[in-house]
Amino acid sequence: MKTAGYALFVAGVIVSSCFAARAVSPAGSGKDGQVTPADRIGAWAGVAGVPFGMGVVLMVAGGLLARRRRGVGAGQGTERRGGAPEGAVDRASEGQRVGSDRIIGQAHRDPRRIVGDIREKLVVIAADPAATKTIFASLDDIVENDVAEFLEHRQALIDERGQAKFAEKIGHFAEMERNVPRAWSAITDGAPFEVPDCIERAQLGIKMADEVLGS
Amino acid sequence: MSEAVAGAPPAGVGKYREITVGAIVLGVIQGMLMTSAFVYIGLKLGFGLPGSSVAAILGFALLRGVGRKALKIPGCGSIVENNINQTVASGVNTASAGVVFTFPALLLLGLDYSFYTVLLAAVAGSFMGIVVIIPLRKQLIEIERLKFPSGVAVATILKTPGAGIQKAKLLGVGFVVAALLTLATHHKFQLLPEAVPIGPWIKGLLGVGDRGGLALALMGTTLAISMANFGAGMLAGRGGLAFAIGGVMAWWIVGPFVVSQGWAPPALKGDALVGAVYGTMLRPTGIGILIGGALAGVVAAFPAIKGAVASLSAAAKLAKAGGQSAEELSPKVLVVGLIASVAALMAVTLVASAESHGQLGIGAALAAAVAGAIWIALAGLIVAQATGATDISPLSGLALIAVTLMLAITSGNVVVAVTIGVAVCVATNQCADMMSDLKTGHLIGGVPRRQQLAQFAVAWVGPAIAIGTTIILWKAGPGGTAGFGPESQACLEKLPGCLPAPQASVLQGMIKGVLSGQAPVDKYVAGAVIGGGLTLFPIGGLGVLIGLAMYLPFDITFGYGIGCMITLIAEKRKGHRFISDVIVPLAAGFIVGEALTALTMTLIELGGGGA
Repeated sequence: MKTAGYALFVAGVIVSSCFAARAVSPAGSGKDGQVTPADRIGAWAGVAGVPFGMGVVLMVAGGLLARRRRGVGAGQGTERRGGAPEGAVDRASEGQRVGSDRIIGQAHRDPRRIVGDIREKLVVIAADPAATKTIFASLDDIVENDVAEFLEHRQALIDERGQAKFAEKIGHFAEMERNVPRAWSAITDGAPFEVPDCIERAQLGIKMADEVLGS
Repeated sequence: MSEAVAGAPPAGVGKYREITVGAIVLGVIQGMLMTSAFVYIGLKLGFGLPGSSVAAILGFALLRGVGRKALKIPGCGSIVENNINQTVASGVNTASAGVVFTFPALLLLGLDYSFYTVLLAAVAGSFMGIVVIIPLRKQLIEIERLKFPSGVAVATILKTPGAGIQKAKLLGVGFVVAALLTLATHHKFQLLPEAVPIGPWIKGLLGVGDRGGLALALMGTTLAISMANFGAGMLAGRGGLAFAIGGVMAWWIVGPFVVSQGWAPPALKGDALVGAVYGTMLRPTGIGILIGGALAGVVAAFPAIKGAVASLSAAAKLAKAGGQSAEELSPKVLVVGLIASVAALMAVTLVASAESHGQLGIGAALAAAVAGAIWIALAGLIVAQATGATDISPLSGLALIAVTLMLAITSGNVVVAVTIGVAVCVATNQCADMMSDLKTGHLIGGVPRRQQLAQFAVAWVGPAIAIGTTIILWKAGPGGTAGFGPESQACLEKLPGCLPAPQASVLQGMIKGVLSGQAPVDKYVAGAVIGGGLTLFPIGGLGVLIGLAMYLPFDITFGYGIGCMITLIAEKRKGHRFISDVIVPLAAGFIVGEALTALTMTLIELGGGGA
């Protein structure tokens, strides 16, 4: 059904685009025989309106079908893995293992686990702010691995939680995301005194993201 | 790397430098110079140039090199301070394209206008561009996670000091490759063609004629030798594929179909056929899809936008309660800014109407102002989504629609329509630039509020410089040898120094077309319906991407698509870390290398008396 939805959608887009591009030469009904917008739209609708409309219907039907199947898939995924988002489940089963043990394009830690890992790393950083070399590596790891992996759950989280809840959650997560590279920049610039404040803000952001994720 | 750490800076060192007088002054100076130069380039060649990467590199040299080392200012030239510098410089410079695409049309049409009214329109547009970005930042950067390839490229430059030698080398390699290819394809050297005519070669091999659908598909299939375009595709990766697929659909399916049905003028063949199908069918339909896609996207994303605005309020309250400064501007700024902008646009409409001896009443002026404001918000979203996904801005197309809309609302008052068009064009370019700068800030740890405040502080500078430079060039040009007005010696004697003002000439022609009923309104409407339908598909921003693909020639989408595919394959085979360690710095080098080389060559040519 999902494939049928995609196929209908693509066919609809192509048909409607082909007829949307149909050239017309309308007769003018305006002042001094000038062509008005209504003349132009009327002339176009007269020669291309029906096939264009059919294309739009196909596109809408296909789009709705694809969305519906996606929603069903999300629900099933959550049920199967005790709350893990659909994207992680379905994609992990299709994914490829490369390099270390990371599945590329497919997250394999669930979002709460990633958030928990980030929180732990930030606690370690906050406990010893003088170890700039270790902090630098840890900050890099958060940005390049944890954040990237968390974001692979993005669509699954939207499907599962809804856009408004996701927007709230990701806002807090982004606060952490901004403050971690800020700490990285501060260390690079020889301004380590900025780091504790950045880490504090990052911790607050990830804590609130965790709370929203758990609610 | 220093091991001394504490919560407070050591004696003699101020706090971590971010928004400083030095960064703003340097940014304004760079921005003013770039604005003047880019207005001249825009009138000469018809395109704008990005200023962020230039400002970031110069910022390093001046803030870090001169400020920290020569003037001994502790901590001067930090990554986040340089980010403010490049934000300000590019923010000032955004007005150049906005003004040069629209305002000269008023001059060319020989209509009465007031410098101050046009300036007010441009300044209002400049501020409004920043205002509408307040909720869009959260939506596009945090929620939709758009890539903003130029923003990533600038962030890569800014992070160079700490990113390690390997990434710096890759950035350099990308830069050199792009610079060499840009020089090789430059018309002064012509060692390589600007585009590889893959389709035309195949057409020759197969012995296909110059007419028919297959001929059109083959003739349209060329590959631009643009490493910036290729790099943008690499940075976009999977997210940019829809754009490439849209190009394939436009040029391999829709175009050939309309030709095979005999809908193109039968007398046309070869390049004339390609031009006609592109200009009168694909491009206007693409504009319609862009508009419909953006409108429906706003409706579909409304819960997220509402959530984003609510989280802005919550963050402001939380920061206030904790005695900290908020990291983002509050929604109050959005409300006040929107009201002020509508009021300014209304004043512009009334004054411009009176100056042009029009009969616009308060009601019509209010309608024009509100429509202008709504269009700015929508066009801002379109241009931000387009640049976010592809690094390409459909600025001129959106300006054409703005002027068409205003001509309809004001019953054909060209002065009002173009003046509001100036505001829209400046605002949309401001949106694209601000968004890209905020993406850079997101990646390097800049505080969005500080970037936005810095841009607010200088938003009036660019319009003043751009309009002033345009008027000077209209009157006579530098030393009377260049320019584009009736008093320009170069134009009177038809010398190469005469500036053709290509975009404004297109707008001038379009205004005449609209007034005589030639605007392809049917394509806009049909395209908008398709754009709306595309939003039903569960991929965000699909309408804007497909619309943009139809709006552009295929040589751009083709190269971009190859870049996307390379990243997809690399990610699958080498993993995500390979993308951030290798692909990102290399692609950033491609973008910056081409931009800086093209800019340098253009300035050298223009400085040499310019043909």
